[in-house]
Amino acid sequence: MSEVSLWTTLLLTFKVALVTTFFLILLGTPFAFWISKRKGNKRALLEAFVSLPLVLPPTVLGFYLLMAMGPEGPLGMMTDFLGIAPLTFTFTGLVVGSFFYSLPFALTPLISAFSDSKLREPLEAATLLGAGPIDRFFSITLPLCRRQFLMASTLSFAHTVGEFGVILMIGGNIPGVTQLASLSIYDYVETMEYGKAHEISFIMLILSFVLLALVYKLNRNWELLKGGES
Amino acid sequence: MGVSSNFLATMKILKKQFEKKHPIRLSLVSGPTGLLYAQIKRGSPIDVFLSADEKRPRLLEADGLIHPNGLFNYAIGQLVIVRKKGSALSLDLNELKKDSSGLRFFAIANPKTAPFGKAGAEVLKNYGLFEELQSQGKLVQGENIGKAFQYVSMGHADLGIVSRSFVLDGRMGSRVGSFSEVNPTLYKPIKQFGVVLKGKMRKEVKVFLNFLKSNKAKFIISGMGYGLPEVKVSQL
Repeated sequence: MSEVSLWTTLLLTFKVALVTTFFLILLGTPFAFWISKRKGNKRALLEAFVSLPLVLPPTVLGFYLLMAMGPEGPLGMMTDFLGIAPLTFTFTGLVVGSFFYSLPFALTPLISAFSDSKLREPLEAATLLGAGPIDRFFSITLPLCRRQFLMASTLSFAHTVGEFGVILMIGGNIPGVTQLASLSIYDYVETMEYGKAHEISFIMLILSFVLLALVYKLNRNWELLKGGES
Repeated sequence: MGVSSNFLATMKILKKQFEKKHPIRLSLVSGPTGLLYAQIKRGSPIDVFLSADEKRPRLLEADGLIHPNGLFNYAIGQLVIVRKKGSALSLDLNELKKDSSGLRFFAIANPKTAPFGKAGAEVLKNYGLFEELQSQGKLVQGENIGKAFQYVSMGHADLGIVSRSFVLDGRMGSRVGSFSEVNPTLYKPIKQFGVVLKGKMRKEVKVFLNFLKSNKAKFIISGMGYGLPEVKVSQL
């Protein structure tokens, strides 16, 4: 077994989580904004759809993704049409899988932020002053919702770092390419190499804890800046 | 009864035949061998455990958890190389050794956790392909042998080494392009052992063990793609 270093595995794990979070925020923001403007039944159906990955066991979600990425699946046909390699067992495939897996964690805080009635007045004022939709988003919505953006990013990142079932299905456990920390910990536990399992778990725990603590600290600072408004 | 995932399909057929003859109902629990082992160690109420390997039953023996002389070899796992539908790659691994440029992914079960994966890795090592495929990032591992088969049957991997029982199962075998037997001298025999757990050697269990040793059961087991411990297939 060619062993890659613990750091390669950890770095890869954080890289997948970071890239996934980036795309979740980038694509999730307009999607969440669109959902927040829908009403009634349509809204309920959309929100239910977004939350589905919470309900599905990760291995089931992974199995559906495996089918979707196969030669006869929609994603497989898309990659074929675009002339790029199929997604299974690749870094891109892991990011696509993690995107769906962590979707609810990114979208839920954003939808609730965009639906907040507190946004209405400043947005109406900006419209009267002649600001376009893009300008309104960057100068009003984004600064007022930064805490929810921070929350959405943090939760997506953390959830992706801890992902296991989906990666197990679509990753193929290739060291240095798709073998993420959770898989390598699982292998070590299965083979009763508890020392190595502890080592990588411990480092992952510390790094994640420090990161989360920093984010919550930042969140708290922003809350104080707002002068206890909420 | 705890049954390792690879043997479940065979066990279901055995169960049907057994229950036809005897007024005893078998209830099957299946899962990866490692998980079943861990559950038994923690006191799960299993009478008989059919493992995919020899290691876990021996560990249970060492732990004093099995009935005296309750250890038996019931089948020998065999390997085949499978190719996905529509692929033109050779099933001869010597060809792959000469030129692996047409191969994108080769699937085996995880050698660290699955007995069939360990044997599959041995085969690749014997062809001098293991390190090569792994360093090129072309070796993908399924969590268990079923997953490795799935990767090939769903078209994600071009070739794979899986249990012979998959390709002999008509429904599943039709999902891959073609297969060829792996020379059994290229890997250590995958001896699948079973155990009767301590205090569980009841009358019903004895009836079942006798059935498992019968020619009828042996015929089913070998028909499903397994080798047999004592009797040669040709003698049946």
